Order: sequence, then structure tokens, then C-alpha cells
Amino acid sequence: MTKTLVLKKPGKADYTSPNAWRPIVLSNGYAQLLNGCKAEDLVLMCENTGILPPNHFGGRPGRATTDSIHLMVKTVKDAWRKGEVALLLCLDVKGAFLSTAVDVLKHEMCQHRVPEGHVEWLKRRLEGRQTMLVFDNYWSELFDIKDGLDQGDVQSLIAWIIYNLLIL
Amino acid sequence: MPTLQVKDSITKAVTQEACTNEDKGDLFYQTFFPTHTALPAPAPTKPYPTLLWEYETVTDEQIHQAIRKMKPWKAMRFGMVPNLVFVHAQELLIPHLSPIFQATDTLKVYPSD
Repeated sequence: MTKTLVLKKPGKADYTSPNAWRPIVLSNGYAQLLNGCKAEDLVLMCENTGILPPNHFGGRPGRATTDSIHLMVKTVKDAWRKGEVALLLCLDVKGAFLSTAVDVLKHEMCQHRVPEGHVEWLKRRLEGRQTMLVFDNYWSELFDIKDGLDQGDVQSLIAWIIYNLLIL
Repeated sequence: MPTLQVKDSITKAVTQEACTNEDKGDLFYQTFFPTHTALPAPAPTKPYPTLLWEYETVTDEQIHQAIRKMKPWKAMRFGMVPNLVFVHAQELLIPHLSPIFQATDTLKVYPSD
């Protein structure tokens, strides 16, 4: 059971919109450490076995946002040098972690030959979660988190990449 | 916290309003925990392909490495051990933490909070 604090996103013009607020779950240190170990192992083995797409930069060791910018600039300039027109389409996935379907994630992990130990461990970790929303000295009733990855969890990044392997 | 409003993305007309804390909580719940829209995972028609590597449980070195990556001053939940304790007392803690972490694999449980 966790408490989800509702905090203002800084610099928003209109705080009457629920999207101007963000959910924050404060960590349990032991769980964070264990999740960090599992995530570390999963990332390392996914990198070693080469199942991650070469054009994905987030949440991977040795890669940074600046690398993706270099790649984009190079791709654009290469197109210009050939006299072609470069077109850039930017997409923002709304609530990416929170809208992840855990059963699809498990299927994708098995399909990409990730060991059952990791799949089952993640399944155990994500089932039976409950939380309550806390704001303005108000505590909501406890409710079940039926799906999705945890925001701010170290394991969510690698899980999200695996979830999207088919489209990346 | 002000009264919350949901507006139509095109007309900007208010379609939903939450004045009480209960209503705001319901609205935040809808916003933060969206309804499952993905199609269910397809039932496997054949066995999954062979695994790429052998799964191993948590080792002491992995715990050391995870501690090295911790942000020492991060806010924790009330009553929880701060990251700073792990950073400075890892040699003392890891011999006790390691068997507990490994038990999540051997006993196939993830302890609830």
C-alpha cells in the first residue's frame, strides 16, 4: 500500500486542470534497492544480448539525450546533402508508464526471450498494488492499481522499452 | 487546491467540474490511472522461444552497484530508511539484505508494504 501525493507541476498557467498536477509516490528504500538490482541485471543482459533497438536512447547505459540529438542532426543534414527534404514528426505519449498493459508487457518479455525469472518477478511486483491519493490534508479511499508501471521506478524504463520493442 | 475543471480540447467548454475533495480525488484517479485501452495480450499459439540467458538471483555485487547509483538525499516515505544509510553502511547491511532479496526469488513472493 502506498500514498500518492498530488503535487503542482511548476510553471503551469492554469491549475484548475487536473493535468497541471502530478502524482508522486515516496519510495520504500528496501524495495527501491531490490528493484534497482533487478533493473540493473535486466538492462545489462538486454544490452549484451542485443534485443534493444539501436535508435532508442532513454534509460540505457552509455547513451544520453545529446546522442539522439546528434543522430537527428546527422540524419537531417545527410538528407539535405542529397537535396532531399527532411521532415520531423514528434510524438508525446500521454501517461506512458501508467497506461502500460502489464499482461502485454509480460507477453513481449517472453516473446523477446527474457528469462521467466524476470517476467514472474515483475508480475509479482506489479500485482496487488493499492494506493490512496493525498492532497490538501485529504486522504482518499484506498483503491487498487490494476495496471501500469510505477512512475519514478528504476525498473519502469527498461520495462517500457521492452513493451515498445515492436514499434521502435 | 482550486476547483478542478475538465475542458473539451476543441470547444474549451467545461465538461466536468470537481469542487469537493472527494470529486477532486475521483478526477485525479481518472487522470493518473487511465482506463486500460490496450488490447489484451494475444494468447500464445506456440511455446515462447528459448531464453536468451539464464536467470540468476540478486548478488552482493549487484546490491553494491545499486547502492552506488542511489541519490543519497532523496526524500523517502515517512518511517523508511533513507538512502544515505545504505550508502554509508552498505558493508554492514548487505550480508543481511542479500538473503532477504534472494528469498523473493526462492519463495516466489514480493512482500507487500
